[in-house]
Amino acid sequence: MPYGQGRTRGLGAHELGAHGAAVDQLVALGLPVVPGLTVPAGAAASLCDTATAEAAVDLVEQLSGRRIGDAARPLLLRLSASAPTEIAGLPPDLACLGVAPAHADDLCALIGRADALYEVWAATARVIAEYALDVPGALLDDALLDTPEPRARVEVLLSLAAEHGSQPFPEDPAQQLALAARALLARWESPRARRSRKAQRLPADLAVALHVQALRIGPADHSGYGTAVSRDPETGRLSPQGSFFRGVRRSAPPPHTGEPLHRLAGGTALLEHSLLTLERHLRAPVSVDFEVRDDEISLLAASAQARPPLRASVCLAADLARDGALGHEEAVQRVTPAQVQELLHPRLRLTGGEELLAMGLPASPGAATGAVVLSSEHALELAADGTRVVLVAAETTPADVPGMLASAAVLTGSGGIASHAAVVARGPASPRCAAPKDCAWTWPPGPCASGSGWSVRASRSRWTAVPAPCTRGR
Amino acid sequence: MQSAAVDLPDASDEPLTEAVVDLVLRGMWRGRPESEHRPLVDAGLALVKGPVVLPTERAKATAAQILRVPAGSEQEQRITAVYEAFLPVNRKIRDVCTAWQCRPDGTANDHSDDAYDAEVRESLEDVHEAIQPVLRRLDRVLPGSGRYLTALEGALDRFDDGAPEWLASPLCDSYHTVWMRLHQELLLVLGISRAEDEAREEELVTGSRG
Repeated sequence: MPYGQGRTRGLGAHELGAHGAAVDQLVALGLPVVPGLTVPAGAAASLCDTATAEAAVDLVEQLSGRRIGDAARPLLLRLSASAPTEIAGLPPDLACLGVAPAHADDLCALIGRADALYEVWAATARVIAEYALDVPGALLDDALLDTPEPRARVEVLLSLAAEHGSQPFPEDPAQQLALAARALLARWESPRARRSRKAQRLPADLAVALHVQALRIGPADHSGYGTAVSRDPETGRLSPQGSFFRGVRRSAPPPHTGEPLHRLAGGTALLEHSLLTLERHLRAPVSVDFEVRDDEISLLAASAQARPPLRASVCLAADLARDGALGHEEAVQRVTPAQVQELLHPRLRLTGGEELLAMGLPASPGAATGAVVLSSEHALELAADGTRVVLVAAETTPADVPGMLASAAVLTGSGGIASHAAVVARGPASPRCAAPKDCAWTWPPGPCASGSGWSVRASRSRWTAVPAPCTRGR
Repeated sequence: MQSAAVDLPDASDEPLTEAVVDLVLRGMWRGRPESEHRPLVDAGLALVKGPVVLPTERAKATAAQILRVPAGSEQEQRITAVYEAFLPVNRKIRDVCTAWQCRPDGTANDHSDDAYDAEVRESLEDVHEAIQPVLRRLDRVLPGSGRYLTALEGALDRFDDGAPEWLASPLCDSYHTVWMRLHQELLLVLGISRAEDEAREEELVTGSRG
């Protein structure tokens, strides 16, 4: 059934899945939603049938006003699954359904980025080959190791399916969708997914709803996808914050390719309106996933932020109270004790005589002072005498681990928040580590609210790592 | 990365060469009996700092020389191909460990949110699925490297048995500790510096393979 029609038929998240219920709500609020439909949990298996899949394809084509295979305004499909609540371990989304090898290059030409489509397509073909066409996983793994290029990967996967699969990879969109549904449901019944349900104490026979979404293909200059939260974490003011990516949507966009929202050619007014509407409805700071098509935004998903920044919560509560949507007492109660506690973490006291030496990004909450040492050995020697030391190194190897563990903080000249050094430094107890642009710092207890920037200051031989204004970075 | 002239321990002294490689890849020994580290200390390959035994610079150079496969050899080429498949996953495991330790907003993960932790566990499973074919292939071209998959599986089992330190703690043979050792061995085997390694990883990840 089309997005938005579940509620009128008396269906809830149990049948529609969390995603189906959430988009129903967006439609009810009058917000722009990506065209799509939900196959309710009880009937999910019916989508494996080609006739049902054909009806689903027709419906999405109608809803989106586009047709699969149309050269000027092409359409592909994305299949996803959702459970009644937000859980981990759902099968991966399968996008690019409906693409045929003969037309793929035309789509790439339209997008303007050759590899974008092939990467997503290869990921989908991999899952379908293993879970619906029964191609042995080890065979697929080996072939993909030998074939790093996305375009060649698709070719290899299709030929493996033809050679070792129960049938060749079909060109017909409805047959592709039916196979994709079979693959998702098989993946949901795989040992991995069962183990995951068990670990989360979910019922072993938990049913999922399936969702078929329009994937409208357009030029990368005017099309893409992104995420946004409603409030600036530093100021708490209503102002969409997030980033967007150009091209075909994928679950893990390549790093450093996100662009700030203000670069959206169509502006952020509609996004801001959507976020405001949702905030009023959910009475919480919200986050959304959105798609941009021909510079227009439509929503893919929306929810209350799981852990909103303190300032966002406080400002929203104040805004709602000012508008009369909340009583004053209730507004105060919107801010949780845990959030207030973040303000009470210890911080360093500066004399003003420090000299600023370096600035960078934090890899974890924390603050520390200590004597500078330049080797792991020296760190161990001084630390053995009870001296607090800050280990400074251009880079670290496993041999530096003992010195890192003995230090109050670690500063490395390379790496970053997710470097081995940062992981090690956060390892022993609660995390204390920060990574300036090209540096990683780390330190033991006395956590401070995490900073969005850090500075290193020195007075005589002591260095002090200082969080920038005690606010939460993103 | 390597210094040119290092006196290798006598080739016939296999236990000593094995020990020095092990110490360098681990970065330290803790709680080993003196009988194990004394020969290394005597050979100038290790020093004792309180409860830990550390490799000397000479030990590091020695291990690098022992492990390095011949430059330009077919073996080097084949290991390089595996290493390039390893790098994008190497980025992912660090992201997973980081997500386990810190939430996306930079605050410490206090593990009070089961849904968040379950999500991280799922991404760990993705990493584990992705690294298995890579390690199986490495085992064919680098003798002895099969031990890494065994050790990673052992760490994962302990993690799933409710001991979370087996993901990222540097104080045990956690998933990350074993991984770091594997990474270090690859670098020494191929004679690749950390800086080259970082640049290559960035290139592969931004090209977004894997």
